[in-house]
Amino acid sequence: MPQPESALGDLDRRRLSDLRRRLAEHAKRFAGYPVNAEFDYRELLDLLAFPLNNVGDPWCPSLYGLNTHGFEREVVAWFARMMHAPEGEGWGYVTSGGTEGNLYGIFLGRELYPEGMVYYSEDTHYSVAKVLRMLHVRNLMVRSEPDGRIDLQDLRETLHLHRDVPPILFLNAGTTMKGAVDDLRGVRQILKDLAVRDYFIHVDAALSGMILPFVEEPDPFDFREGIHSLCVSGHKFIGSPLPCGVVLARRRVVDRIARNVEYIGSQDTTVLGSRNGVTPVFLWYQIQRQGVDGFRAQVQRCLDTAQHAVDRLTVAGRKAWRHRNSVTVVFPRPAEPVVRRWCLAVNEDIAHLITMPHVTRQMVDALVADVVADPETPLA
Amino acid sequence: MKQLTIITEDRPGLLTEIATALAEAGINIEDVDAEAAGPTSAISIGVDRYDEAVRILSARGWKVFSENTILIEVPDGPGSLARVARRFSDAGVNLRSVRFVRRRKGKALVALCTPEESRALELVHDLLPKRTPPPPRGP
Repeated sequence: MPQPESALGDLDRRRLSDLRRRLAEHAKRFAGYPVNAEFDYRELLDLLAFPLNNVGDPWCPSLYGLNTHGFEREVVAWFARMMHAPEGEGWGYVTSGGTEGNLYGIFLGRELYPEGMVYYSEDTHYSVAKVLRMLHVRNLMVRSEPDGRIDLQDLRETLHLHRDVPPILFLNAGTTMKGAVDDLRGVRQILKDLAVRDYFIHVDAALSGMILPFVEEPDPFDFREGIHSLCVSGHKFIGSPLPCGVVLARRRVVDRIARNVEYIGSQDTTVLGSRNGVTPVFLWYQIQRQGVDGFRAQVQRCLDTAQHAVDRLTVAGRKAWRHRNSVTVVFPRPAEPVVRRWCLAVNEDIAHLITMPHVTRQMVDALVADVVADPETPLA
Repeated sequence: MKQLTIITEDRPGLLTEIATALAEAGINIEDVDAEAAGPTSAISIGVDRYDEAVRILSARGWKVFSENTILIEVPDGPGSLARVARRFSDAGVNLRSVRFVRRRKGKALVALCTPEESRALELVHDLLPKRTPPPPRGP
């Protein structure tokens, strides 16, 4: 892209050039993180000339006129339809990303049940432990199955022993390392068996929230299954240069924490005060461009590429696997140079690659070639 | 003096590495204690500059726990953490958080976070990992 005439000196311009070069180099082999690098928002760049700020509840009038609340409401409404939020009962807003969405969900649960206990699996994203500490809410980790799903037997025992405490269940639709979707129906069956009436369920669907609505046989994960809140990341599957996401919750739960703030003339329902006004338009733009059919085709392409990666690694003698509806391919941790070269995420003895829309079969083949060429990489 | 705890794989030279990292930053080690849980070591260190020590050790990739953390070892089975938490609720002791640090070979190393440390230690005294002889002090 041609650069505009610079207001900077030579040294500063060189620093920016170096930065662009470094970023372009990394982007060539960006295969280990659930972030889509394939997007084009040039049509919207003139919006950056405005001090946009979506402060306040997107559904309430605000005195700060330089906002994009209308676009934000459309984005939230689209996600609410995709996640089957009950008509008229779904509320939400565009967040700064998954962490804010999870913070919001746990916050709602805690407000509803101040004496409650949060249960979450050991495969849950690391930021959740931080959120639990910030919110000062009691919490207990539950074991995970080897494939990354929450261990229902451990959860049953745990809930049985703490039947006097309302559970706030933090579940995953697409765990960080293994792309696992917690068995929501299994969890609800446990609640039913133990006659637990007061509970709250939040689902972290950061990545899979944009995959499961577009596959033939989705794992149960959304509002149809009786959950109370859910968050999806915007910069992960949809793709955005600015991190963002969407949190959705049942309106009656949100009403409990709503407060009127005279200063901005709006309801104070969001975690942050000043909020990004650009990202809602980015998400709206992609939704208009792609539509449901476009996303469905994109998801299928990514799943095909993921299976291609499993097949190639398997042929190369590596024990590679993935969940049926996941683009996360798990395989034995390669040596450090391969990990760094391909920006792979690692945890103890495993690594993963994630076939986001920008990850091509050619990239996968090159990565597998590096893994095979590395004498230190274990076979299984 | 405040204490921090590092959880890591036990291996030769580990204490020297930790001590060197702190010494390079001019941080004084005032007390060292080590607990073994299978192949895992839990090293408790008293330092004069706590926040900086946590930052330096975390930046080097070690898993560092704050002074309010109690480490216990339990059988790795369904409900084992819940049973520990039950001890606290039955005794009326505030327990903020219970989480796995490591699960391996039928044993789970678990971190408990509570503002009532002395009462908590009484409740889980039978679950504390075996102590090893005190390691040599750092430089």
